[in-house]
Amino acid sequence: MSKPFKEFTAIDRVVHEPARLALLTALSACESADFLYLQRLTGLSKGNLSGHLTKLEGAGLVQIDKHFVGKVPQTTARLTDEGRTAIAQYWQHVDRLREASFRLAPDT
Amino acid sequence: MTVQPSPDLRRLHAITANYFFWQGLRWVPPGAALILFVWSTMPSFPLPAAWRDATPWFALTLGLVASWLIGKYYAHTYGYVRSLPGMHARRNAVKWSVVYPMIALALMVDGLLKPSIIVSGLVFAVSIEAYRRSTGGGRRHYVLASVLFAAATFAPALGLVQPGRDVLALVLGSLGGVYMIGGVFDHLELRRVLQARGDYDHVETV
Repeated sequence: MSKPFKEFTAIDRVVHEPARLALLTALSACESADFLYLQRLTGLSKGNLSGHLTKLEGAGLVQIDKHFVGKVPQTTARLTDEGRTAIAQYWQHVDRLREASFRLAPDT
Repeated sequence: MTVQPSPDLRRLHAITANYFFWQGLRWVPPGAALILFVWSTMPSFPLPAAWRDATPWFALTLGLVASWLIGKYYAHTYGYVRSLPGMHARRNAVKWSVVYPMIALALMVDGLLKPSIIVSGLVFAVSIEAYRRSTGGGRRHYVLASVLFAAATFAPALGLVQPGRDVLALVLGSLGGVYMIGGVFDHLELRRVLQARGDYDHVETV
């Protein structure tokens, strides 16, 4: 397997999944956002959003806080330091892949 | 060459980073307050003199309270975002050290020196476009507002408005209109973005 394709398979699949990439991108733009905002922004169903956030939390990229505002339960998500690093590294990896693809020579 | 995130992702990032400014209905009450203030300085204002003096303060207070309440609506309906501390430090520094002083100076020039062009028209044209770009882009209606402010610059020279007090009333009243109309269009654009249905909600292993 030539190098660019090997690099491509090494892409962080937790980050790369479109819904999770959208969530991480949004969370990278703020300190925290609540469940309702993330659901509205991505158009995900409650179940799907919850599943993706759980996966990101399991990977240590996102921290989920559940608390009450008055009597109303509220769930907020924020990127961890690892999450911020992960999204930055993801785009650097994609940059490298793009540059490598320009240098890719056909097999002889 | 650096890979740019897709337009969708850029938009998600920009709107989230500037969520407060995209909550357009917040700007409607302050816009109405500004128009009411301008009207209170005119002979056509229907209330007695004692009410005239109180009107700007009443309008400002009402505008701010209404804006705050509308913020509650957005949090309840579209969700809540907490900004990153210091994220917009540079923008705020430019706003307070350059933009606002320029606006104040331009209004003083228009009011006191009464030039044959509306200096504040040009300043507002530039400021509105700078505002649009620095708060997440999109919202093309502000480009139109900028063009109209720039075009109005020559209104005194064309005899359409008297230099001095009338120019200030025109500029500030128009700004109030931009707040109100622009705010409604901001809200409509935000609503289109935050009503995304199924963009990422496909069958996918979680």
